[in-house]
Amino acid sequence: MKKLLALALLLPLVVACGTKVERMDENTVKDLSGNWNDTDSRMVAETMIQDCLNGGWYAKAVKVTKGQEPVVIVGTVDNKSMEHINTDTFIEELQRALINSGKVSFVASSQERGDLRNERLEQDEYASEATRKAFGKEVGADYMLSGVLNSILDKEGRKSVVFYQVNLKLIDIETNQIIWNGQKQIKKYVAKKSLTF
Amino acid sequence: MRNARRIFFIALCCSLCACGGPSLQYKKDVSSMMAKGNFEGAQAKIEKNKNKVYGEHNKLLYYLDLSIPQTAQNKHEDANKTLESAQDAQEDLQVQSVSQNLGTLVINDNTQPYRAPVYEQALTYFYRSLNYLTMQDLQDAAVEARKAAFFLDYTRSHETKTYNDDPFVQYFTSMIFEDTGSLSDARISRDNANNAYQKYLSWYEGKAPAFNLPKDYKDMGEVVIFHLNGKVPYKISNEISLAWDNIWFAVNANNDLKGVSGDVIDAVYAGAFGRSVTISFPELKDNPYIITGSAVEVDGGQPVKTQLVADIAATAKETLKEQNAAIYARTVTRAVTKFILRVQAQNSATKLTKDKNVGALVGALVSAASNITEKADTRSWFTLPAEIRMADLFLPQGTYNIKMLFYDDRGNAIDEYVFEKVQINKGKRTYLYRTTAK
Repeated sequence: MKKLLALALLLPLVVACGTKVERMDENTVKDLSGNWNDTDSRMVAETMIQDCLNGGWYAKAVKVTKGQEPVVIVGTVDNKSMEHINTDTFIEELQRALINSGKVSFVASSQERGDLRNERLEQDEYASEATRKAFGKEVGADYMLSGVLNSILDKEGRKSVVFYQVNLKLIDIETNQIIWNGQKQIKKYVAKKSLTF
Repeated sequence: MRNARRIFFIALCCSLCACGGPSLQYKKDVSSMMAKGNFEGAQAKIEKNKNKVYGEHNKLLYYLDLSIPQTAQNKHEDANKTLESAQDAQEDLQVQSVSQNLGTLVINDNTQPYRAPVYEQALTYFYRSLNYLTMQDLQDAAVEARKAAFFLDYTRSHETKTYNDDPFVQYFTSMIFEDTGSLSDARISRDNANNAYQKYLSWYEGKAPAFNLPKDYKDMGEVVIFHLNGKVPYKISNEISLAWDNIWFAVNANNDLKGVSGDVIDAVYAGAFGRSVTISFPELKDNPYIITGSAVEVDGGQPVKTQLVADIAATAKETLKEQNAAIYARTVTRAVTKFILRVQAQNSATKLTKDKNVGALVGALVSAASNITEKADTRSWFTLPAEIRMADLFLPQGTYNIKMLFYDDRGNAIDEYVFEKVQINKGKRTYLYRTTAK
């Protein structure tokens, strides 16, 4: 009887100690710390895509490129916030949506281009002539997409308000003109537990 | 004899429950490894004792202690993951626990999880930033600089009576803001650094550190070298058992107590004989080191002395001095609470058994348990250096061998280290660092 009682008392403890993992829908909003998370990243990307595709810059750009799809390259997105944020996630999402819209085409980033050039150098030496890719056929970009993520934090005790502002710009590489500027702001109020037993 | 065994059993249980973090011997062992340059061994020892010495209760302290040998071995990514965990743990600790607060009034200050004081928290930003800089990741280094600036602004505006600003961390953040082109932020941080240095001027021989800017600096590259030197003082427990009875006669007469710690015997016998109060408080003990200065020599040129930019040892002492009033207040409150508990236990037992001897025995047991649990909070980030020294040199663009010379207090060069083939670029700042605990 005593053993059964002890087992009954221990069982909840054993169960409570185990790691629990469950799959979630990727669109589920789940805020844990109040920091920048996947939901913020997705909100920024969605807003930016809409804004970018509906922008007046596109018609002008097509006119300049004489009916061809404007070619865009992703530059840097500076993280000027107080959190270690991977800005690549919403840039990648934005890039994917723009390519899939069929309105613009993207060229690889400078680091990717470096890798590709090395690959072509190696092909020159090791690949058959029929499959070898030639140098000097790269497509030059017309525009560069770059931006900055800023944040302002106001904190008092366990309560804080954090304000994020993401600005993305499309810059004409030839003229340095900013032809599109998208902005998304997110404001969060975070109240953390201050007392426990 | 049976009673004595019971008392020791209670004492043992209480000691185990005290969760006091690293012992003095453990600190000395790790410290000695670091002094010999065996940072790998120090890291392994800390990791091995994660649960045994630190536990969940002192996980912040574990991460802090671990980060220094990792940084010293240039394990930048590992060190930054450890420091991130430390910062997260500190954030979680802002939740006040009613039961743990109560524990500080009836058991000891170790019932609270370890919370880092301002200077330790500020240094987590410095170390993380330094690791990012060494990995050539200015963007993430700047994130830490912004966090540091915000933390110190917040502390300065909320903590008016304590060590509430960190001159060196402010100075360091100003350099990173300059590197990112945020010149107004850099100016604010530099002003804050100067103000904070003025506040603690006596630690820096009466003048804030100053580095010369050559006229042709725009045509040159800059190299900043940090010397993370020495061993920060560690805390020891200072305990006084105030007994009205002659306890030492009994201690000396009992052969069963051979090999048992003097503090334990003292507390148990003081408790066993009744009217005693043990008072404990932390005290900082210097952890000696022989390297007291350093200089930097570029490609065999004239050595340039490093300057003291952060006196962590003095900061630790100042912080403890400021905490002492609250520590003494809690100690006295605890002593009174424990005394009341003893009297109540004794009276209840006498009443229940109608036997004064049993009552006295229960009172003695409670008193012994109270005395043995009276341990000072000796936890601190003990793997930190005692000081940070810095050299700031401007060099034409190129590749250099940069030698660090380490001096004892007589000015003898007793050790050296060479940073080989350091690339200096025009208009750019390069950061180097070396840890010594000899």
